[in-house]
Amino acid sequence: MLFSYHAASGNIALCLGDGRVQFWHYLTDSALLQAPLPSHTIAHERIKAAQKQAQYIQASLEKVDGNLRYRVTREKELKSSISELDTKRTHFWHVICIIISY
Amino acid sequence: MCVVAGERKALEEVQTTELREYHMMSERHNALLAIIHGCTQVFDSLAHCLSVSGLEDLRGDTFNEWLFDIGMRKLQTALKDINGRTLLMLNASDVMGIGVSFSDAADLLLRGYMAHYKLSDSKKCYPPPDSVLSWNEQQTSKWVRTLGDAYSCLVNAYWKGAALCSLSPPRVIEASGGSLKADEAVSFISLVRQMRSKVDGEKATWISKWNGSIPIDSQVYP
Repeated sequence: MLFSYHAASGNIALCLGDGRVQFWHYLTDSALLQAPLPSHTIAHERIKAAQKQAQYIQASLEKVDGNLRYRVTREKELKSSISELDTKRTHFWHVICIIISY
Repeated sequence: MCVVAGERKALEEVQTTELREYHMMSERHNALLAIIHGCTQVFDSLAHCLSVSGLEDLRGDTFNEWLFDIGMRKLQTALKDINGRTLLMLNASDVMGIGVSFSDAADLLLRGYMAHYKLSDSKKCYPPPDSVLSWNEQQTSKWVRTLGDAYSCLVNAYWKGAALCSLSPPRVIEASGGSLKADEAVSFISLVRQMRSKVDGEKATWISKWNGSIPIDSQVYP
């Protein structure tokens, strides 16, 4: 029996003793993120592929640890704070420009 | 300015590869949910069209999804220029004219008939069980064999129930390889009709009358 695994695509080929070849697809996070979105012309096939991927991602997202969750929240806070400060700074310079023009 | 710079630095520190991958996954998840929603809309549209006007308003995507539902996706390429409204006006010979086999053409028209007149609870539109329409090739061959030597040339015609019920004299002559004459072909079709009324006479009228050599919109049975 021969076994071959292509990490980038997640493809696995298994050559059985009787000459048959089986193909498997092992979905890794990075392989999934690099794969194109399901675009089958038939909606029945498209939804099947999308549901399979969505379930896999959903499970991965649910496994996220407390530390990463904290960083997600922290990132959101920082982005909001930076945006607020940028707005205030723009407003400040606008007022300065008006004062100078007088 | 110093506050902003400090916040930006803190943001850079928070944004690790792991966090970026998390965002990519979230975005992909949202994109997938949008695809699922889009597909659901196509299915809803198909169900709505079928329930309101049968095949009449099936076009493009919905027509192809219907072909998939009835297990005839393989005909998608041959039927690329056909929509539900057109199919209603075609008979088995017309469908064969666009490159579909007689058996598939009859099957397609039977399922189209059942979908259009809402005669099936299943999306697959399976022929009514225990009817001649539901016969497979072996059952058809077995019946033809009971007719004796006169029609033995039709035993291996590979007709399913729908095809058997859609025969025209030229089709019978063709299947016999030219060994049957027109009057014999007509007699054979009469035997099919007699057998159908015997087997399916007690069922809904359309089951013993449906005929794929007549367009869907030209055959309405009480």
